[in-house]
Amino acid sequence: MLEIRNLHAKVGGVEILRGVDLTVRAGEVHAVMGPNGSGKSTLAHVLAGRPGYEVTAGEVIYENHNLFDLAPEERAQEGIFLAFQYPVEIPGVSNSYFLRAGLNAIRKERGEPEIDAFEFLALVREKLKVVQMDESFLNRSINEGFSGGEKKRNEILQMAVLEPKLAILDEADSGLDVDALRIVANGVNELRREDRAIVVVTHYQRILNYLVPDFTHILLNGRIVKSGDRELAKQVEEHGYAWIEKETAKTSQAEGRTLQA
Amino acid sequence: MSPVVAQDSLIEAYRSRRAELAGAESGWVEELRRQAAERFEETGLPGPREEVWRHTPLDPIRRVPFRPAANGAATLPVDLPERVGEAYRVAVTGSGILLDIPENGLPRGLTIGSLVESLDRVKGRLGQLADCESPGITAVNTALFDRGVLIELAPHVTLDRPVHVVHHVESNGEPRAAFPRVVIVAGEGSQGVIVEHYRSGGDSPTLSAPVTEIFVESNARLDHVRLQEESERAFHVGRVVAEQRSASRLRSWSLALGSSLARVDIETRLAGEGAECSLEGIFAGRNRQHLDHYTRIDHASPSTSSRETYKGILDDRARGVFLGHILVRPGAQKINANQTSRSVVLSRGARVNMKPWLEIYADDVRCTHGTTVGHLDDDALFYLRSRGISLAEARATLLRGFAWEVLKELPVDTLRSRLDRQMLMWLGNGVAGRLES
Ligand SMILES: Nc1ncnc2c1ncn2[C@@H]1O[C@H](COP(=O)(O)OP(=O)(O)OP(=O)(O)O)[C@@H](O)[C@H]1O
Ligand SMILES: [Mg+2]
Repeated sequence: MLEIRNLHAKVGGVEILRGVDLTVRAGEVHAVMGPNGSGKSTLAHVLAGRPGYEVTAGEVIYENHNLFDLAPEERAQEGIFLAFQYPVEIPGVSNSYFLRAGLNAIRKERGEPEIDAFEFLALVREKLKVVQMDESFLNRSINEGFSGGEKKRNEILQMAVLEPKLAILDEADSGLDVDALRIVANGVNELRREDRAIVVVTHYQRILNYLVPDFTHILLNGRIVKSGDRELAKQVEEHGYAWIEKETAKTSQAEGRTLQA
Repeated sequence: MSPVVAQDSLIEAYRSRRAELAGAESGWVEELRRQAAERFEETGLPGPREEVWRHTPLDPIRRVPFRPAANGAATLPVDLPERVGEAYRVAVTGSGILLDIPENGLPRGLTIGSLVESLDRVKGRLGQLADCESPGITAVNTALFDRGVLIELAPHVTLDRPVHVVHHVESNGEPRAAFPRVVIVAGEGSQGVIVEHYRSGGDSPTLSAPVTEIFVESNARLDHVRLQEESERAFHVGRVVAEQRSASRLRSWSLALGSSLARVDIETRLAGEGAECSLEGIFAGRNRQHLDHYTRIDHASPSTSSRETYKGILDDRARGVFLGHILVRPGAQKINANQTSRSVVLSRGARVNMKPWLEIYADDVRCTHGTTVGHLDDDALFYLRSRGISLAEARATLLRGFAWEVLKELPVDTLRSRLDRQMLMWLGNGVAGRLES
């Protein structure tokens, strides 16, 4: 479904991604972990098409598309969804308007008719239940005055309504209490299907207790330096990243020697 | 020297018509007009040397030989985009007013009359708030007003629907100027909503220079909506002056959408304890439109409060100006005043100039003000697009949200939703049909 090859990207002239390789197949859940500033959000943003990032090398193939040929809205229409680490507040635009406009744009792309107000309300009520949000959030301005946890749930609500093929969750779990964490994780689990994939960016392995990943990757200095299974996440939580850094340093030295030889 | 064509032409009009102007037979009106004409002859249209006119040169108006509009045909303008919901509708024409009201007439306690035929009733009110001294168009309006309306709410009356006043000026073949005059009296404890709607038509330049005086008696609650949607051939220079007695509330909206050059002054004097006002406005300009607001809130009594929000949207080579004057008089303690002005500039050629002007002579005052000018928020645009919404739709949606903060409390539902839709379509990228609701 998603194939990232040797992806390099710059922000503000600084190279942040330095050769990311990652393959995600339908039905899989991948966890991406890494220390602060290692480039996790940058990777997520580059995939979603946020302006301001310069891709300097590599390619990303998503469902037979060259991802970089698609505008951000086209990626969403093709089924990519990014849950933002920092959801944006938009005064004066209601949450329900936002959800419906997005859903209709996606339906249009799929050749489906627009959803009318009545059907939409029925649908969104179902989805509100999943994330245990009150209907009153629909009439509020997008994220305006929402608490940290409410913003995260609102991201999952959007995901539930838009039903993406590839969901990238950028720290959907940060700042959540235990109950909210379970709600968010369950919301994501509901989406799990054979034809969908999920990439979870996180610092903590606790969300992975609910949302068990098939693979765990460690992003360090803009590269995926180690991949493993669920256990790798636990090791990271226990021992931090230092040991991986050391390991990586050794391998690159070794590489260096091979190159010299 | 800047040209004085308009001034000469209008003074000439005053001289030749003065005997026929409404109120010529009653001494006080004639005297009021004479003094105003003298004043206008002395000062002419305001120039850039006046601080509050610095950013709005009136030269395009000065150059045009405006003559007062002919007495219009006595029909309601038919091309109005809508009725403002269920309203008591009044068209102000050169030959009087036309009422469009239910068969059973106006409700008890509401008077709507042609101002020029009610001059006796407004003695002691007309010209009392809108002085001819301050630079502006009050002098020429007072000298020449030939049309207008008087709206009175008797004490303790609550209007069941808004009053919708339509001012329409039309000129074909030669430039015409209209000088409407409006007097609104909201009696003690009364409540109501009044919409003043300015429109223009015809193939030649028009000038509207209306003056509205509003008396808000104690405990009254008045909403005044001023909607300016004149054509691109129009010039508009208007003034609203209110005086508020104790514990009264005035909410004002000024929506400047039309005309090539428009200046509106909104002024209120909080003259009784506990009076409060909220002034809100939108100016949305494109092409080469120049839209200017000057507001003045005069905290003349203790325990008065004011809230103000103005928003500008400027595209192409449009120019926006906002000067928000807040005056707190000596001895006026326990004052609350909040002012916000924000603009979105959509193109390189567009400009906006917004400034608070605070004059505070008391010490127990809580006054906040903030001004921001920016572009559409990139993060917000990306957020919308990341959910599948196209760039054009995202831009339209953000603009609509920006305007909504001012429109949301507009007290006339149909007008509010019409303007909301209009803001969504404002960028003209044809997305609106799909985006409504
Ligand atoms: N606009 C920018 N200009 C310069 N540097 C930037 C810009 N945006 C991000 N960076 C830098 O890129 C690096 C990676 O940031 P990114 O947000 O991808 O990290 P992250 O792995 O998501 O971190 P966290 O765990 O804290 O969320 C950081 O050092 C950050 O300061
Ligand atoms: Mg991050």
